[in-house]
Amino acid sequence: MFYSFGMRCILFIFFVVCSFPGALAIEVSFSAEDGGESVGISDDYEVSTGVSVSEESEAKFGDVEMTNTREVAGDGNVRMKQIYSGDKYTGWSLIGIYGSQIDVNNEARLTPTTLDASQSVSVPSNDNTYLYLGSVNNGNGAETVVWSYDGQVSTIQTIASDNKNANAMITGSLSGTNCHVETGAFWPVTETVDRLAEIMVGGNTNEVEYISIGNFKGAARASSEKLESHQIVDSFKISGSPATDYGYIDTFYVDRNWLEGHWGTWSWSQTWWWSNTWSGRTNVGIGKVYFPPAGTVGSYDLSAMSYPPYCDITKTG
Amino acid sequence: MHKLAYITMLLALISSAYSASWSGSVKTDSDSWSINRESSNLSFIYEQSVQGQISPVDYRGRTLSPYHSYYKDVNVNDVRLKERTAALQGSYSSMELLSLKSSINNSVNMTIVKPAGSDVYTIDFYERWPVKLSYSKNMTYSGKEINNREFVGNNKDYVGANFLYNHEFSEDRSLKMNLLRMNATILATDEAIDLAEVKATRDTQYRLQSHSTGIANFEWRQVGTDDEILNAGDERYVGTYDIVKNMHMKSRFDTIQKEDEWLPCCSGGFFSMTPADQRPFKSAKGIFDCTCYTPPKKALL
Repeated sequence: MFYSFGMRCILFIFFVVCSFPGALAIEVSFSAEDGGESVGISDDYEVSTGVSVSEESEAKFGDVEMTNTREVAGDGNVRMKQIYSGDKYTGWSLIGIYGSQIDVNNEARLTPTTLDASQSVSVPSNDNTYLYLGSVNNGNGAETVVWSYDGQVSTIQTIASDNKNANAMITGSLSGTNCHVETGAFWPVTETVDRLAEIMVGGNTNEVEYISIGNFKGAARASSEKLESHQIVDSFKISGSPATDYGYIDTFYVDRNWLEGHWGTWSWSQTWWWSNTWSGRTNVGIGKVYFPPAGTVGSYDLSAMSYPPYCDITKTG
Repeated sequence: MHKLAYITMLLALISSAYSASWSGSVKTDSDSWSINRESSNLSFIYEQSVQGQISPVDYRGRTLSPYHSYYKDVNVNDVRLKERTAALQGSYSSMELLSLKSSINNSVNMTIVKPAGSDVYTIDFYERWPVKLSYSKNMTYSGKEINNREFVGNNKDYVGANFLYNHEFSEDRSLKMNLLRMNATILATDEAIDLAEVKATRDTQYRLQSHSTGIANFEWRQVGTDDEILNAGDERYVGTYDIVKNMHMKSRFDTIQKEDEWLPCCSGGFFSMTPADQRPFKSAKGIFDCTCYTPPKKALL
């Protein structure tokens, strides 16, 4: 039984829920203010006994700023959330891992109007991993998302945002029975605005064979003028049965609410699935989804843009 | 003619008064702890001399009652000085000199550490925002009545002196308060906060020589790292008294030692202990140090 986009949505929500610290967690916050400008970092940790945590923050005053580094390493369960806040932005690092030899390194530099943060994660063997790093700065949002079941993760995510633009980048490699890499630029949902330019690459096998996504590089950028997202995947390999396993490569610019409401009605194909124009709730969306057949290897150059609307998949391998 | 002659010199200097603050908090499933600190790059010098008669004044066809009031509030990074004085008709003289300097040039740091094998988080906040305050004042009053209240506080240590319903009153007071640094340590698990200590390295010297004819009340307190009262006093004198006081409260805490020194003669053990168990020993040296042991030259009976 193949997993539809609706099922992917459910899996995604499952990962998000799993990544947030639950009932047993410790929350530590640290904030600084000077001359009416402020920055702050809030941490939530829920980690196994076998996991070590080492975090340092430094707040400087005058032109107030804060720097943060942390390393989380060990075996077991890691569920943690780090929220960055300034006068014009909020940023999130969400990490949920169950695995061994986990090594997570975060760095961040916050000023009242700018945020630079990175997240480097290595999990040689995981049951599941979910990683998110994103920010919304002055109404412009950019994010990257990764997940993997039963495989390996090696990624570096970064965000860099100032008072005009939000940028998110990701590089790395993934493998597992269920993998996903996502870059997205968006404007947060309001009554009149709900747009994103997003790329998702991933796949699901029947928990026997593997998806591997090698040497991917992605970037998303949001400004008040446009949203754009780009990914290059050097190697996208699906090792499984055509009857049960699938990969997906899609780019879209669309009205998100309309799209999400229709995910459950989609069906599967091994070829270019659709390229169409929709009439959405308030906007027109264009998207392309490509399902490479199981047992294939390919490389791809993907892009999505909003204003002007554009999305494309180029198969380069 | 009643005449109020006052203020021979007043000089106040305020510079670079940028107010900055930081806050930290720890929340578990059952407990929470928080701290808020505020200071600035500030210098302030205040000199005053007053001598005169508190007496009625004719103003637009009516007579204003003879009255003197005085209000002072200083609060920089929990280094505090409060004074309230109210006096009726009589002779009054005072001289005072206040000097205050504070700095926020140093950064404030926070660390979170949880070793593998332990469920205990050690959270440290470290601040080096020094404050230095010196204050001297002498006052003499003779007349219908004077009430004088004063309070000095230094990061939860305090001294309070109240002189009420005095006809004759004089005091000669000096105060020096220093705050060097503050670090707070919290040991917590997901379930609860096991320990929360606030360690401000501070110093308060308070000297007083007074003559009072009403009620004199003194109160002081010095607290430990967990706000526990280490020493405290409460005194009340009704009548005519000459009182001399000299108090010195000092709390000093070493800065955070992040790494243990090399084990002197033994190995293992300390690092495998949980932070809660490590705490009484402070470092591996506290348990295993053999270097300070000198064998006795003669056997002890």
